[in-house]
Amino acid sequence: MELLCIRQWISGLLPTVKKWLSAWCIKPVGGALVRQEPEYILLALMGSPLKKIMLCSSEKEIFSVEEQVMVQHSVIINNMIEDGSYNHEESKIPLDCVDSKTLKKVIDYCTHHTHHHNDNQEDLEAWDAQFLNVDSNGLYDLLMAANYLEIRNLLDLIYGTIKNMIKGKKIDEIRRIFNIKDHGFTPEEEEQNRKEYPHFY
Amino acid sequence: MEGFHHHHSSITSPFSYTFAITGTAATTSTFNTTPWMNSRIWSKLPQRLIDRILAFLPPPAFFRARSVCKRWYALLFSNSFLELYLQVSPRRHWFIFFNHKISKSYIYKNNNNGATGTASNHNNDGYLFDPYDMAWYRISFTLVPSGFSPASSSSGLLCWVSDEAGPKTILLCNPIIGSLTQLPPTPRPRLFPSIGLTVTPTCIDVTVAGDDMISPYAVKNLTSESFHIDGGGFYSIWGTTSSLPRLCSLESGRMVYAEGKFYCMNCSPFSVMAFDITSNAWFKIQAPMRRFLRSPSLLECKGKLLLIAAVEKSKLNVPKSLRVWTLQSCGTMWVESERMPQQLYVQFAELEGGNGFECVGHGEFIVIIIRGTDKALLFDISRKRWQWIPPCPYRRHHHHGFVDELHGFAYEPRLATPVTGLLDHLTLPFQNFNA
Repeated sequence: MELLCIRQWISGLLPTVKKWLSAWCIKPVGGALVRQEPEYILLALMGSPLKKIMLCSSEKEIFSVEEQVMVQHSVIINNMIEDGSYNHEESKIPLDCVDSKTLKKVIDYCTHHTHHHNDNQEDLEAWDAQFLNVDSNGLYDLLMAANYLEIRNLLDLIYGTIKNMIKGKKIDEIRRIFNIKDHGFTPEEEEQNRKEYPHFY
Repeated sequence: MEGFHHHHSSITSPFSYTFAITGTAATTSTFNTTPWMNSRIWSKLPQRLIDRILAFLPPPAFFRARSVCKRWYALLFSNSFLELYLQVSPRRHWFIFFNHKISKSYIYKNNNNGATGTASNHNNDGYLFDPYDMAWYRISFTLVPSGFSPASSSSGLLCWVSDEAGPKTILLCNPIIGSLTQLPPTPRPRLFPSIGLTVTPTCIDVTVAGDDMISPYAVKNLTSESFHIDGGGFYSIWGTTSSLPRLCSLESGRMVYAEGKFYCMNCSPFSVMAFDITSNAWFKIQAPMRRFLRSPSLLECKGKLLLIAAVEKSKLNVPKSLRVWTLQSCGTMWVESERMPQQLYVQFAELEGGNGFECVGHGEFIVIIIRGTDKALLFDISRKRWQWIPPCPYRRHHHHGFVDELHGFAYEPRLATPVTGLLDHLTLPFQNFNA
C-alpha cells in the first residue's frame, strides 16, 4: 500500500523533477520508451536497486530478477509495474509464451546491459555477438520473447543479425526460407527481375 | 499520413552495382558465409515481423528483396510499412560523391560552348559509399535537370542549387524514390552562395549565404537568407535575412549543421563562421592553430562540430600531422581529439604531395579524399580505425590518367522522406523541368 502512495506522490512531483533530470542528462539503458521519458528513469531509480521481481516462464519455472533491470529494458514489464497491477509481495509475472531457456537468456541480456552500460562500444558489441551465437531455434525464440516483452535494443540487435543473414542470399533461397510458394509475379515481371539482378538468382 | 507521394507506379531500382569488385570483401563473402536458415522455423514468422526485417535492410538490399514476391515488392508503396520503416530503420552513416564541377570555370565554359565536353554531357551520377561494408553503388539523378549542382544533404534528401547567377532555385531530391521538390527562389541575386540544409521529420531549414551580386559584375559577401517550414505551421519563405560579418570569405561553399547552428569555413586567416538559426545571427569562432593549418574542413559528429586539417609547422617542433579538434560546449574553445598515426601520415603525405585534400564526415566516420587521385581514407572515430577505401569502380578515368575530383556529402539513403509534403502546401507556379 505504501508503495502505491509513494508512486502517486512522485507522479505529482514529476513536472519539476523531469526538468531536473533533463538538466542532469541522465542516460537510461534499454528500450526506446525508457530512453525518452524521465518518468521511467525516476521510477526505476525509486525502487531500491536490489528489489526483485518474479518472472514465470511457460514451463512454470520462476526467475527472480532485479526490478530495475527489467523495468529499464522491457516496456511491457515497465508498464505492468507502473500501473500498479504487479504486487511485489504476492505475484509473479506470468510469461506464457516464453520458455525457461529463452527467459533465462533474456534476463541475462538485460542484466548485462544494465550493469555494463558504461563499457566501451567494442566490448559491448563483442558480448552481444557471443550472446547471439545460438542456433536458428534459439534465435527465433529470442525474437519472439523480445517482441512480446518489447525490449527495443534486443530487438534491434536480433533484427540486425537476421538482416545480415538475409542480405546476401539469392532470391530463390529467400523464397525457400520464408516458404513463399507463389511469388505473384507474371512471367514477364519475373524475367525483368532476373535481368536486373542476375547475381541474385 | 500525408507526404508519401509516389511519382512512378513502379519503381525499378535506382542503384546499379556489380559483383566484380574485389575490394568490397563483405558483399562478395556474404554469399558463402551466411548461415543456413531453417525454413521450418522462419516460415512461421508473422508477416508483421518479416516486414520489420525488411525495414532493417539498407536500401540497395531492400530493392533486391523486392524481387522475392509481389507482396514484398508492394511494401515500398504501403503507408503502414513506410511508417514502420521510419520508426525502426537504423541510422546509416553513408556518403555520396559527385564528380566535382569546378563551378566557376564550368559556367564560363558553358557560355563559350565548352570544348571539353563536361558542359555538354550532363552527368548527374552519384557514387554512394557504405562505410560499414566498404561497398560502392551508383545512383543516377536523372530527375534533376541540367544547370543544377549538388550543394548539401540532410535526412535522406539532397539539395541541388541552380548554377546560373541570379536568384537561386533550390531543389530537394530523394533519388531512392525519385522525388523532386522545389523551393521558392531566393529573392536576392547571388553567384555561388554557400548553402546549409537541415531536415528533421517535421521541419526543413535552409540558409543561403554570401556571393551577393550587388551589380552584374560585382560580388560581395554581404547577407544570408533563411527558409523555414515546419509541421507546426510556422514558416519563413526567405523572409529572414541576416548580415554577414565584414570581410568574410565563404570559399568552401559548404555549411555543416550541428545543434542549431550552421558552420562554414572562412579563409585567410582561417576561422569558422557560425550562424545561429533561431536567433538569425552570424558570429566568428577562431580556428585552432589557425596560422599552421592546411586544407581545413568542418564535420559534425554526435552533435559536436569537428575541425580536421593538416598541421604544417608548429612552434613546438612537432612533426607535421593530420589532426581533428572538437569544439567545446562553450562554443569558442577547441580541444584536439584525434590525430592520424604518424606512420600513416607519412604514407598519406607522400600520396597527397601538397595537392590538398577534402574531408567529409557522417556520424562516426570521416572520409579524407586526396585531391587529384582516386585515393581516400576512412576513419572510424568510435573504433579508432583508419582504412584505405577501395577505389570507386564507376568513375570514369580520362585517357591521360587525370581523375575528376570527388565532391562528397554525408548522405543516408532513405525509402521515404515524408517531410517534403510540407512544401507541397506552398503554392508555387509549377516549373516544368524537362530532364
